[in-house]
Amino acid sequence: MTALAPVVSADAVWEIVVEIWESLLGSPVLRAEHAFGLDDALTAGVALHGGWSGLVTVTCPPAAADALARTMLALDEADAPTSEDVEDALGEVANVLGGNVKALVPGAERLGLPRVGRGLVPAGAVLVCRNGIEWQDHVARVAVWQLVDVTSQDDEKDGGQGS
Amino acid sequence: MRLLVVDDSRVMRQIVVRTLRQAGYDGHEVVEAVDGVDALAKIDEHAPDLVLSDWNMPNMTGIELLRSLRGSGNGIEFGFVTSEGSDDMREVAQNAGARFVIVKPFTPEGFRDALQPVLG
Repeated sequence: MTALAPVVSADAVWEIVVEIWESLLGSPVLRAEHAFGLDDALTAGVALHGGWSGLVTVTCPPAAADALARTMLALDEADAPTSEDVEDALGEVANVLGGNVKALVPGAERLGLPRVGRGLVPAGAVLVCRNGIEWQDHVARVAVWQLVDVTSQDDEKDGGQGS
Repeated sequence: MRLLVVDDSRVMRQIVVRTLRQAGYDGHEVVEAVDGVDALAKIDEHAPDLVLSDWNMPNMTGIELLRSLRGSGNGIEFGFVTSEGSDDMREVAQNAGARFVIVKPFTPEGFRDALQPVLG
């Protein structure tokens, strides 16, 4: 997969990531690419529409998504987040990422609602930029994708895989 | 005072409520709503003094909620807590009658700056 000339840079997205992790999770983050299994990884994505159309996604292993939900809900050690809470928390991270990326991308006029699952990135999406994230004992990837073939938006494949 | 927090994300509603406390607004009653439609019902039922609303929600968005309130003559204090903070959206919000726009991710200090003129 070939990266397009970036409408938004990985560095600019990283600044947003740092802010989100500090604000929503109270945690510093490291910029580091780690391999992790995509088969059971969760992806949350929000679509941007307008003169420029694309997706902003966050993908992580289930344990990392659990940790996000646990921290965002300020749960005690004894309390486990429900699957609904985990999807809600990961979706909200994607939503905040998407809203802030939208402000940087000329032509991105509307923000969709977050969707969470496995395999949310459409076949027509081309990677624009990606950041690997490490915090505490967890890893995730944040990516921006451009939809270059909007007719294939429903033809989904695995999320989180890039060039 | 009574505050209404409107967001389709339960996680984000909880974070907003927590941030209100961290910003020093812990003596206020808080009611929650999951979207604009629910918010209209909760406003009728609880008559809050301030609405803190997400923008992008299913069923009825935050800006539709605000326009519905103003269209029916309800001048309740209203501010957005949203992931989008472009100049265009701020202008739309202000023109519709919003007092402020807090952009996610936010801090307790950001809440204080926005809420001080309304809540003191």
